[in-house]
This record gives sequence, structure tokens and C-alpha cells, in this order.
Amino acid sequence: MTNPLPTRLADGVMAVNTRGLRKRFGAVEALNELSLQVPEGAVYLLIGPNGAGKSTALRLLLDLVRADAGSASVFGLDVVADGPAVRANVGYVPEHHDWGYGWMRVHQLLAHHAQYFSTWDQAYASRLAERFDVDPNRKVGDLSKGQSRRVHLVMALAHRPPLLLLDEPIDGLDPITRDETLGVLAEHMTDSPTTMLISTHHVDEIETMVDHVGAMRDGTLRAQLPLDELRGGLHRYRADVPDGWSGVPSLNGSVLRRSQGPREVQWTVWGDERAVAEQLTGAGATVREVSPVSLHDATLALLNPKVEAA
Amino acid sequence: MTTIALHQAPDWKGVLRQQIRTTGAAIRIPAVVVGSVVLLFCVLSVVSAARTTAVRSIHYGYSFNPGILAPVFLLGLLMAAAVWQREEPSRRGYHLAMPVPAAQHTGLRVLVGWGWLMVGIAVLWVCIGLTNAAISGIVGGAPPFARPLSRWFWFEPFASATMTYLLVSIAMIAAERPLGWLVGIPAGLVVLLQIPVMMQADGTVRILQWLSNSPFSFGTPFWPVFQHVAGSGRYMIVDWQRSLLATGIWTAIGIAGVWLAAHKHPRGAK
Repeated sequence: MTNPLPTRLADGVMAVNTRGLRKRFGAVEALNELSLQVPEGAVYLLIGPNGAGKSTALRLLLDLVRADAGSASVFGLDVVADGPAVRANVGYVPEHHDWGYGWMRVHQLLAHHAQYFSTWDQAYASRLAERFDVDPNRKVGDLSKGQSRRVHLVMALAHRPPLLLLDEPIDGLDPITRDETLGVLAEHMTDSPTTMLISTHHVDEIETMVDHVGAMRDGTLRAQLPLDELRGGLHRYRADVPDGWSGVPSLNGSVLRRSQGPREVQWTVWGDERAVAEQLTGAGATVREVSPVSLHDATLALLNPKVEAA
Repeated sequence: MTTIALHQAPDWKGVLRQQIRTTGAAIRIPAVVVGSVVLLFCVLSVVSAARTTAVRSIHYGYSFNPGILAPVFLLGLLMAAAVWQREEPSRRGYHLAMPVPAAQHTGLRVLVGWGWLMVGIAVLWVCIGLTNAAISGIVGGAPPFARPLSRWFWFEPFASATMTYLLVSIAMIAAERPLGWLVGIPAGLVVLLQIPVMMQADGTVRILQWLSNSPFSFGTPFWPVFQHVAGSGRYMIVDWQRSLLATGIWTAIGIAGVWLAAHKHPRGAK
């Protein structure tokens, strides 16, 4: 199966723009011709299984990792040549919480961080620390994964950066804190003009915030499109089929997922809803239901290992 | 092109001020421990001087004699370890994600740590000087402590601590397991140098002997040959020019190593 979904967005002003990024760690190809486009003001969800290259892509935007080939820019600034200027405009929550300065107390780390960002809003930082229930006297190296996430969120948000790079920001948080965090992020988006590039496996919980989706697998971008376009073009079809039914060859390129019972088949298909239904009917199937897919189901379909990159 | 107003990266003065504060906080505990030990020695020597008649034999131990160089050499090691504590290259993401050029940021931190080290050694000298002055007061008469004949003597502890600090800093910045390198390289060299001796390769042995006495020997700047000037209570460094040259060579190696380590892109940083 070849991936039928788009991997290029329409031209516009991009907060993040990467072109043909390649990165290899030894024998592992972490990124393969990655061309991300995150429009300014977007909440862009980057999905992919573990090891897909999502974290590498985010770290590359901060020049924590250098690409073997290709280029990347943030607000038009080259991430290598203009690294400091890029980082001054980015709030980053790393995937790994063991991130240095472990000997410091949390309040020391926040004070230290504030000195590097001229736009640091101390009142906002205090409010965030209170909402996230951050203990200022804990040693950074002794924080749990969840506690560390919360401290990093305070550091990422309090200087109100134009771009947020959030790598699994709600991973390791309990459900209540997860909910609180998403609420804070939603409020932040309202208060501050921000572009958000977020990588998470908790797609259900983030769905209401997202307006663009990128799907990665094996370092390759499988899909990149606005969420509305994804919802408009990706549907699940449930149909009864006669015995010995041979399928719909013309749909082969558009089917992302398929499950089959004795007499019933379900497809997740990319394409015009009416045209797909007509093709199914024309091939002898009786279409019982056509439904939009949730972001969770779309993720499963987009990351189907049987679908090859375009 | 973007239409939003981008934030500015911080200016260097602000970063320097913050690094002085941060590095000061990082070394606070080791500094308190070392300071307490020094203070204890100073107090004990004064107390001993007050209690014993054999004052001279005691207070010579705390005067400006060559023996003082050993702990100073260790201070450089401790300082480099404290500045980069719990921050191996794979755990240095935070430092590198700051909005300043990564190599310069690393270099600045090394520089600030060195500044604190020099302050620490200066304080150490002041403590020893005050202790000697106190002992002189107790004993009465002219200060009996040993005084250096060469000004180089005053410079030597700062120089040897600087060299240690720079060389250990290279391992701390570049290596995931710095202790392994710090122990492994000298141990490996010792073993390697035994091979020509065991093989009775006289020519090679002679070259190694020449090297070990040359300014290129690692030991030359750390352990200069001192000579006690009989009857004067003074020490002098024999062939101080050689020590100075060796210090220059190894300091240059240390600076070059730190520069290279700081510019090595930490591909494994998380």
C-alpha cells in the first residue's frame, strides 16, 4: 500500500520549516528527508510510534542535534547559524527529564533560567508554579518524571516564547495534572500568540487543541495536513460483503486500515466520501455506515506499518 | 517572512553575571568542605604553637613550603569536577538549549570556574599567611616561616591549579565517563612506558628519560625541584625557567583542549 495522504502544506508563513532533513545515528536512520511545515499560530501535533524520529526532529530545531543533510529554520532563522536567536524564541519541554543542573533547587533553576530570557514574566512563572504544584525547594536531580515535566513547563511558558516545542509534555503526569496542564496550555495559547509543535502519544486528550497533524514513522513523514482536511478526507466505512468477495482494486491506494469479519468489512479510507462509497457499492458491497474517525483512530490508520511512505 | 516580534538573545554581561552566581552556587559545598579543612589546620597549628615549645618544627609544615602544592593541585581537580557535576555530555541538554552560542557558553563557564579557583587559592594563601603571622606573634621575634626567594614561587600554585583545572575540564566537558579517562590515561601511560624498559630498548628509554626531565613532561610544572636555602628559612625553585616553560606548554595544551571540547557538538545530548 502506498501512502495516499498529503505531506506538503499549502504555502504560507511558517514558524518551522525543514527541508530534506537526514540524520543517522550509527546504523539507525533517525530522519529521512523530513520536511516539516508548521504554520505560524498553529497547534501542530506530531505523531509517531516510539523511535519514529519525533524527538530528534525537535532537538534538531534547537541545535542539540545536527542534521547530516538538509536544513531547518524557525521564524526564518537558520537553526544552526542563528541558534541562539532561535533558542531565545523557543520554549522547550524535553522528553528526557534528566537534563542537567541536577544539584540545583527548583527555585534556583527558575531564577537561573529567568536571567537568560529577557521576556521572562516572573508573576506568570509564580502562577504557573502554583498551578502545577511545583515545590521550589526540591532538588532538581531528585524530581520524578512528572515533577520534572511540570518544572520544564513553567520554564518553557514563563518567557512567553513565540514557539513552544513540547516533547511528550504530559507523559508521566497523573490524570488530574494532565488535565490541568492541557488547561494551562489552552489558556496560554489564548493569552500569548504562540505556535505549538507538540509530540505526544496522548492524542485523545490533545485533540481539541490541535489544528495540524504530522505523522512520522521510521524517520519519514507519512502525512502532514490540517486537521480539518484530515477529518474531511478520512472516513471509516462499514459494509456487508457477499461470500467470496474479492475487494475493490481501485481503492487499494487509498485504504489505510482494514479489518474483516465473516460477512462484514471495515475500511479506513482516504478520499472523497461519496466516491469511495460508490466504488464499494459498485463492487458488490452494501455500505452500512460511513463515519468520521477520531484522531486516535486516524493515528492508528496513518501509522499503519503496512502503508508505505509516498 | 514572519510578522511577529522576535525575542532577543541575552547580552554577554548578563550571562557572565549569571554564570558567576551559578558556578559559585555549584562549588559552594565543596568550597565549604575544603575551607573547613584548611581552617581546621590553621587553627590547630596556632593552638599547637601556643602549647608546644617545639614550635619551629610544627609551623614549618604550614608555611610556604613546596608541600603546599599538593593540595593546590587537587583543588584544580575538585573545581573542574564541581563545575560540571552531574552534567555529562548526555545530560547537558539544558546548558546547550540556552539562547547563547553553545561553545562560548561552555567556555565562559570554564573561565568563571577558573576565576573562582584563583580566588580560592588566594584565600588559601591569605589563611596560611595569617596563620604564620599568628604563630610568629606567639613565638615572638622575626617570622620564622619559610619565604621564597623567587617570585615565581608565588605564581606556581596558581599555575599548577590552573593546569589541573584545564586538563580535568577537558575530560568533564567531552567525556561521558570522565573519571575513566582521568584514571585511565595516566595509568595507561605508566604501563606503556614500562614496555621499552622491559624490552631493554635503551635508545627509547633514553628518549623517555630526556622527555621526563624536559619541559614537555607533565610532571615538571606540578613538581618543580625545590631547594631549601640552609640557614635562611627560604626555599628556591631550581631552574624556575624550565618550570615556567613547562607551565606555559601545559596551560596552552589545556586551553586548546578545552576549546576543542567546547566546540565538539554533543550529538548525544538529550
